[in-house]
Amino acid sequence: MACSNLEETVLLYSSGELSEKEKKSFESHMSICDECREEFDSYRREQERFFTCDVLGEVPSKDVDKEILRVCSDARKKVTGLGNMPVFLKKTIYSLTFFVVGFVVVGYFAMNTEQSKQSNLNVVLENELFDSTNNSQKQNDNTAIINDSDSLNDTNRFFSKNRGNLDQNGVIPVDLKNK
Amino acid sequence: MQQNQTSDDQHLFDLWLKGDPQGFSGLYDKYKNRVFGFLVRMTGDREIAEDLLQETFLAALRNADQFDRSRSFLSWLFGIAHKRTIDFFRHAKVETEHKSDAETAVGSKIDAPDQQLSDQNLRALINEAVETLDPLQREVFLLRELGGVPFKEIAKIMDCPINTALGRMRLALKNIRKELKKRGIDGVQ
Ligand SMILES: [Zn+2]
Repeated sequence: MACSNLEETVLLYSSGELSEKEKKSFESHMSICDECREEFDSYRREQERFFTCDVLGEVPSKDVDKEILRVCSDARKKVTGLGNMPVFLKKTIYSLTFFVVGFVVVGYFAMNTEQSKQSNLNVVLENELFDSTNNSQKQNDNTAIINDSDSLNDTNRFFSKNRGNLDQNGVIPVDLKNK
Repeated sequence: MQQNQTSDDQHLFDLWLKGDPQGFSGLYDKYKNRVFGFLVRMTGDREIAEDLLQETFLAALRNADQFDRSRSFLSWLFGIAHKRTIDFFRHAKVETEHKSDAETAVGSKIDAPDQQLSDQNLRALINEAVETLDPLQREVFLLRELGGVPFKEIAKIMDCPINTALGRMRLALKNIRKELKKRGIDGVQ
């Protein structure tokens, strides 16, 4: 067969796997080569008459259909909100989310407590310092600390400091006292 | 036509992913005969093929997220059916037994030769010719003709160069024609 190397091209042409350029060039070859055209035509006729689903396919029994649809719908039910991800993966994601949220909440409160403890400690240290200085200086320092807190805009610290000073100075808030 | 087929399948596949039972049963009804035909002809045993058919659709269901939407659904399904068949032969190691079973089973189905060539006879003759193929040629032939799998993908599925897949297909066609000629069918007129 003169065109035996083109038998594979016939197959690729039939399966639609030739590039546009290859396709054009093979079509123009077939228009002048009886052998290749005949090969392509007979393969196409075989596909239409012999190699069909009716001929090569097989019909499973109704019982098999029923069983497969049942088994597959059971498997489907195990798949929940996160699409088709495996169930264990979803469970892992849910638990991780739960723990992360838990840590954030607990961590937030723990940090708050820690900071107010630290601030109380600062106030105690500061007050000890104030005791060692004269009264006018004490007044100035106290104002400076409050202003400092203000400028830091750290409400927790400011609140803790005020509370600390409130404890020290009775019920009068520090800023009112300074007025 | 092929484009419509693909978008129909994509639609059913989306329903399937959403958990709509119509998606799965739609694709199952559409392709079960093709996949089952492939499995019966590869294993030569209907019962084994029934188990593998179930395994194939179950595996497709479980690995739905791995389906590449740029490919055809049927090609993907045939890729899974190929893997199930390979696994079956690897575990059972009964390839030769079943092959000889299949040959006798198909041979016994053929009716008297002088009877007119009905569709049923033609079916039996073609399948007998397919059964005589070397398993590798048979698989390329079935992947292409039943699964509509492109040669590029057949090469990937069977882990061989595309030229090998094309060569096996050429031999498959040549041998089927030879077998049909022996049985009095000389091409399609
Ligand atoms: Zn030619």
